[in-house]
Amino acid sequence: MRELEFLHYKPGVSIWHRHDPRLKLLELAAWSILALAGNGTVTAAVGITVLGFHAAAGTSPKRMRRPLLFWAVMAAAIIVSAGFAEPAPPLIIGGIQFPIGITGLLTGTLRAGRLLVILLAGQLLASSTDPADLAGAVRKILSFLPKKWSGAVASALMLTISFLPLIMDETATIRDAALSRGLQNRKSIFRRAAVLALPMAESALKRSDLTAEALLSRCFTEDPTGPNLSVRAGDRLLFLAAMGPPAAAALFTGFTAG
Amino acid sequence: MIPPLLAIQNLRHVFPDGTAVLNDISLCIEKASFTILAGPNGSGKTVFMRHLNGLMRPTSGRILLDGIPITENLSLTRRRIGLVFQDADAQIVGQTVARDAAFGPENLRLSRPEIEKRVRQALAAAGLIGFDERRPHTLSGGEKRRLAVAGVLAMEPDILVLDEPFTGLDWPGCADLITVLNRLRTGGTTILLITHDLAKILSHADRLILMNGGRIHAEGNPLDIINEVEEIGVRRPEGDVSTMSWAREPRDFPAGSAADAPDKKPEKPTL
Repeated sequence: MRELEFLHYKPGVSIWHRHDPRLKLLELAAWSILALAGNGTVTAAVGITVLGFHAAAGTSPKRMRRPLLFWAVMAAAIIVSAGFAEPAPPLIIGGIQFPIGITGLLTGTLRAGRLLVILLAGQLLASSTDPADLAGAVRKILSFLPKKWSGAVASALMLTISFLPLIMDETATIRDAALSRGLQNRKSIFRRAAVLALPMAESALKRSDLTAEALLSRCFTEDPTGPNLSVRAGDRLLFLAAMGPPAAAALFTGFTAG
Repeated sequence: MIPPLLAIQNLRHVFPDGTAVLNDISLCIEKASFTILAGPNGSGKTVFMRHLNGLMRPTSGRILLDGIPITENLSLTRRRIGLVFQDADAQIVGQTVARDAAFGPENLRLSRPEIEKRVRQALAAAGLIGFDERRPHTLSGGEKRRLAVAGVLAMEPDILVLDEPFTGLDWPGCADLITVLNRLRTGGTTILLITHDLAKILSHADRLILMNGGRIHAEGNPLDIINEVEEIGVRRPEGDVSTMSWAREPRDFPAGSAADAPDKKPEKPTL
């Protein structure tokens, strides 16, 4: 769990790390819409673009292993359930007819692909953007709203990304402590989960309490001095590179959702 | 008459189950003093600390900062009374050392150049020059504690309150923290340090307050009341008060190097 590193910020100096966070947010929104509403080609174009930027940001494939494993489990569930939901034409392998449909399986695969692209895009944003900068960008983007509202959204985002690793770490400590006292001897996975659930919830609440006190003691406000944000020529080029391939795919294939 | 920097008057806090965790606490903290508040576990030290900048509200009694109740302007109080929590991890919110130290000044809505100046000064005071871009969670326990101090110092508080700052620190970590505290004291910062570990720090304090069962058991010059500490369940360190320190010779913190780096063998403690 400690190595999960999903949505963890990793400081860096790559061109993507230095990209303006407001444009990153805009790109994430655009990628998500294109991946969800576009056809398979558009989704694939978004996926390839996101992977390219992951490479530019120096994301280690090893660190993505566990999040991808989690996605694979989710994807299998999505594909199989779609297959059951649309049983015609049925899947036949070696003369054996299965109660799941080929069209459903294909639809499920596309949905799982869309989910993967959105997960990767979210991870790209979170892993390369300091949560404080991200919060500053959200405040700027939502500046048309009352400050209290935009501040609340920005702070919630910043705190979630900042403290996710800590909560994960504490959860892993509780699990390790339970394992060291023979948790694995309990055969039922549900019983094991039940044993861990309460201390994990208590720990998360306690951590939230301590964090809230620490924030208050340092005069926490939802409208602090923001980061210095400026869109430079390099940011504009990166934006074009981020939007170009998916937009081209959408133009050439008609954008229709498959 | 000039009021004391911090005056606590008849402070009482009763938990909802009826337990009186603080019972009629009255004391004063003078400017530029170094006070140690000692007491056994469960004596109410941490609850007392939380009252000092309004994180907890008393059942009765009040706390005056320069003669003004702290509840009149909690934001100002929290700027002037800096708390360093026992769990440094809970206090660290920035993704890099510099960003964490900037968190408080940013909340004070200072200008960016002023924030950067304060961050530089705070990191220098805490011996963390060269650590700016390090991730806080990769720091050692002692470095994290010093970062927690830097985060508070960047807000330029008048009083620094530290709750059990030596918990979990090895000797070099303690010694470096003591160096930081001594520097701050020399610079005029008022320090209130909560601990039951007197052997590490008592020789640096000019006042000792003993707390037990939510009450002040004794207060005064450490020399005068050191023999009373065992009455409240705190071990009296051996030797004279003047030897009760884990400090080593003052030294500068080299840029980018951890105080407790493995290649640096600390000298034997002075105890």
